[in-house]
Amino acid sequence: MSNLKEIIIEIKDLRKVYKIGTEKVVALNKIDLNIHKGEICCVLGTSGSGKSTLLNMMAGLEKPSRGTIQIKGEAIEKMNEKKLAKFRQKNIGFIFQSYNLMTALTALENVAMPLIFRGTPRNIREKVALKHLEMVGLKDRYKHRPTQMSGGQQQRVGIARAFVGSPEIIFADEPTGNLDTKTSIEIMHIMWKMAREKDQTIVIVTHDPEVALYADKVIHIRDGDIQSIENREEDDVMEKYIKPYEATYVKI
Amino acid sequence: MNSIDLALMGIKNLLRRKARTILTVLGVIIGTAAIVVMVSLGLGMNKAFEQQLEQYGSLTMIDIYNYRMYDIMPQDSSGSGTDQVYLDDDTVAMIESMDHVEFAIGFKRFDSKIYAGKYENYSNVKAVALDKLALMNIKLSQGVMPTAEGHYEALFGFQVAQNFYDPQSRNPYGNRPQVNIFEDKIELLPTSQYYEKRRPRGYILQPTGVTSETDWNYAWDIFMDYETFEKLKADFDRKNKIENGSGGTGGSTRKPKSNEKVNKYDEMKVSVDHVKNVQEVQDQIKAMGFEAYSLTDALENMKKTSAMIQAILGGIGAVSLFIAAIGITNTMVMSIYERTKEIGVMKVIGAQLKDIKRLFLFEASMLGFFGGLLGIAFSYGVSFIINSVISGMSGDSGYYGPQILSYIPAWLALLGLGFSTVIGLIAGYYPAVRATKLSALEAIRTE
Repeated sequence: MSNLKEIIIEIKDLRKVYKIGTEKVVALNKIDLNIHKGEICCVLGTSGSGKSTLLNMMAGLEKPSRGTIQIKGEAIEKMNEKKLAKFRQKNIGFIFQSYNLMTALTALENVAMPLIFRGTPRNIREKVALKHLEMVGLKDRYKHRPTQMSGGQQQRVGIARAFVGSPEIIFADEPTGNLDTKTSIEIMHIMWKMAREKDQTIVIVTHDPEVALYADKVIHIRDGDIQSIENREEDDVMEKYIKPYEATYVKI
Repeated sequence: MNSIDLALMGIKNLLRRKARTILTVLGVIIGTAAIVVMVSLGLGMNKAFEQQLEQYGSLTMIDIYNYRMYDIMPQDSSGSGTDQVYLDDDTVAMIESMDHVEFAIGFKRFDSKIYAGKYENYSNVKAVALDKLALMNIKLSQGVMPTAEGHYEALFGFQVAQNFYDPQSRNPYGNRPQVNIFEDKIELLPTSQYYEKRRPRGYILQPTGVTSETDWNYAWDIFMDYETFEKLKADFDRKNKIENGSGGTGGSTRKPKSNEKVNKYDEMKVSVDHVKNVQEVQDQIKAMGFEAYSLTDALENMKKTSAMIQAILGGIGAVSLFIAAIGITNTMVMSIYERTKEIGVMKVIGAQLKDIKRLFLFEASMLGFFGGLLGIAFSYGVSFIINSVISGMSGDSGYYGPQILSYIPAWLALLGLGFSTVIGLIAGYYPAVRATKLSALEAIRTE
């Protein structure tokens, strides 16, 4: 089924080699990967497997040693800093492991941040930001600062910030890495739901197999190579994977 | 990113780091105040120079003397064939025909004595054409200018009235008597000769006015109409059988032989329309063979000196502002290190490179701007203290008037403010560029 959808990220023959002193470390060996529009993708691997490197290159934060990454038909690796910044502003949302909220700003201001950079007028961006805070269930906390919130709440603000500009692609780097299992479930559930509603593409990088339960496509990566790609029917994900998994925890 | 959001974000960032912002701004305050106060001292000095010169006389006046008349004739002497030059009505007319000259006026000085009852006083009488004297706009503290029609009308310098003494007194110069020149009978003898016993009858003067105390140029003179005084003098000489030329040192009234030129005046003043033309006119007069002096010579020298002092003072101030600029750069670089992560996050969530650059430039220029603003307020305070305290210590010396030491005109304040802001902008450029070059990846990796 996913073959019918257009390819939004196309990775061909991707290789990344780090030079540490005189030694060469191969982070990614040879990656070929297609991600379709609206897919919820999970790159699963242990630390040092090269999964974060893959994400960074997809987001244009690192240049590959070889190969191409095309997002919406545009070659990311050929763009300069200025173009990349524009491209990210328009098409990409980002969720971090350690939330990375501005501590001086309120939840609402944090969420509105990407819209500030786009030059959206204040009244419009605050309305949109408040709507997204409502989606993550933090509407009544819009005036709180990050320091007054729990990790789970902060990550929810982070999610609202990533979604606020309605980007086509959202990258999430270990979004549940700093959270307990119960909170992780909340976070994943929200992300899954929001992406599904607007048919947005998410690429999640994680080492946690339980996070992978939320994905339509799970890419197992090990020592810089893709070991296997597990495709699931989108309609099955909720019934077959998420519901049984969440049921075991809801009781607690 | 629009400018208002950027400004709000920048100000928020500055307020977030209060201590460092305050310390950096303090540096700029001191730098700006140093440069503004230093320049203000230079300007104050300039102003004091001008004030002082105004006291000596008008800046547009040229004084002409004829000291050369006893010299061996100068070779380059120009004029009407003869080497000798004279200060007479022809000269007056000639000078008045020059460009930029408003009028020229001649004075003839006579040593004289005046009496008020038992008191006496040696004074100069300056014989002058009264209609021209009116053109000089001499400030009066009392009365009016004398007119030619009056009998022995005279304008008194304000010091003359105070210079009477009692020759009978044992300490004649100790206790100056008060003489009211308008009420007491003032008698004039057009000679400085000393009379042992009886003095000849003099001429009753009618003082019409007294010059202003603020102008010391005419303080010791008595001005009278030229023709009137000439007649008076001739009358006096005839009655007392004084031989021509021996009456007074300055008063040689020897009758000229026909066609012989004499110095009708000892001294001439030439009024020029503008300060900038004074030098030109002065040079022309010198070319005619006269000695000519004006205050522009002094003013030029003073201006040169003061420009140099200003440059030195401004340089000292500039050093402190330069240090403040380094302070701004330092603060912004530190700020980048501290905000590395924040900058990276901003880049990843959609900030453009120019947004980041503008943000840092804005913050730096705000440090400069607020530092400049407070620095100028501080400068006005310092200037006030300098002017009131130090000037007060030297006393309100009436001769030169209250002394201005520090003077901050509006243009200096605005210039200081603009300068400090621009300095902030320049100081912030390197950190701003550096911030844009930070790798977003490095930035978000920092834990």
